[in-house]
Amino acid sequence: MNAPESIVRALAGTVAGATSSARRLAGGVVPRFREGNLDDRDTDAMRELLPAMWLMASAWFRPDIRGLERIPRQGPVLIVGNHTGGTSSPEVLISQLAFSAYFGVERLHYQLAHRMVLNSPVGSLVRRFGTVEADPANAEAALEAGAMVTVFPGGDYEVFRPSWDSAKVDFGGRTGFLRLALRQDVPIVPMVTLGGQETALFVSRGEWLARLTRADRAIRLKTIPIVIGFPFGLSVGGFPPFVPLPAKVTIELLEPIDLHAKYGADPDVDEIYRDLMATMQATMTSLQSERRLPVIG
Amino acid sequence: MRIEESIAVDAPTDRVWALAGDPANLTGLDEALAIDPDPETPTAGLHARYRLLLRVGPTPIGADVEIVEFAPGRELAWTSLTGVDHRFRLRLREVGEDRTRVVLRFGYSSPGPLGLVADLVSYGRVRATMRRLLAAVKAEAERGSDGRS
Repeated sequence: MNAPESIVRALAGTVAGATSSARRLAGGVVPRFREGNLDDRDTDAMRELLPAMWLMASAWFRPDIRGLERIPRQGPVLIVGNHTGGTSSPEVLISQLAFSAYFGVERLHYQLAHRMVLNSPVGSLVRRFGTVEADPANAEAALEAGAMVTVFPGGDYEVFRPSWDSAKVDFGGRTGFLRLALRQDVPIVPMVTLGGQETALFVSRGEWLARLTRADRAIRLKTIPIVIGFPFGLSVGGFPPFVPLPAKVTIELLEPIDLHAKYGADPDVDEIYRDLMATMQATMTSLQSERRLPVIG
Repeated sequence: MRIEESIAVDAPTDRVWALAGDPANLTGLDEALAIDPDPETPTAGLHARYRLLLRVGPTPIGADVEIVEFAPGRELAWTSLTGVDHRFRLRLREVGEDRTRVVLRFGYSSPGPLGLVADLVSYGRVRATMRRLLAAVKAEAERGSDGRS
């Protein structure tokens, strides 16, 4: 082996070793993706955490929750909500706590969330409160167990809509939840939330950035949002994270809809979707008309 | 937390009991409280069950409760089976002709140190609800005594 060749080999070995070390280091720091499990729901932990979390959420977001009595008292039901507030998504926590307080933690309730949520710093907490990965198999298993299931079909598309579209319900044309409800023959209860988009200034979903970085294919992230929040100012893709402003959050649950009873045995999903969007938007517009000032409510 | 309130009612004990001896009758006496009987145990008495909703914060807090002590005309007590942990007792005692003392006890405790904070924060509102409930029972019973109902 001549001198230049040995130098090249030595350098290659050093680079390979450094890469391997970096991977090991990253493996220890970056949490591995872990799918949600229905058994992660922990009624005992919920009972212990509920009073304090409800107190804090109530103090910060001053929630106004209407129509809880419209949720059927028993049996599986699919609660369909618009998604707000970016990574903080206050309606997720508030609705979960409200359902637990109203029905008792004993009533099974699951929420479907993006995999990133389950692997975030609050992942272990939200798993205990029944948050599982947004996967049709998880939803079907939960409904078959007789649970209430909350879905936010708009997902990352809707949750990062610009703040000036705060009073707009937009699921981005996603209709999988309707097929799920029809397959399982469970009623849906629409849930409309206003206020989450006032917890920061949401500037752009950054869909172009997700495509540019190929995050849309690698980790199913269709958006890399651009947000101006407290206390760090500009936040791109959730980093640095922002502390949500204490915006007043109003949630209204609407009358349950029995899809087969209303639309027949073989309904047109697109027609149901249009009707649902119109109904939810009308409620949203009404809630917005009550609002006097952003954040304050 | 333990709340105890009492009130003197100018009405005979059996009239007050007719009003408050079935927890479902308390619904409507105060807007913060609603109690619905369980369809499977519709008759008031020992082991009868009810669904209770008590508005404390931004949303009503719910619990399924069961009557665990029941002495007609004198006393009833329930304890929660699900939902928020609590105990409730209503005691009626005759203190003179056509006069009844009603004692209400409501105990609740949330787990953990932050649960204690939550209990302290809610104490004033829960106590106010119980006071209003007793005042409503008194008003309703005395209205009945006057023959105006």
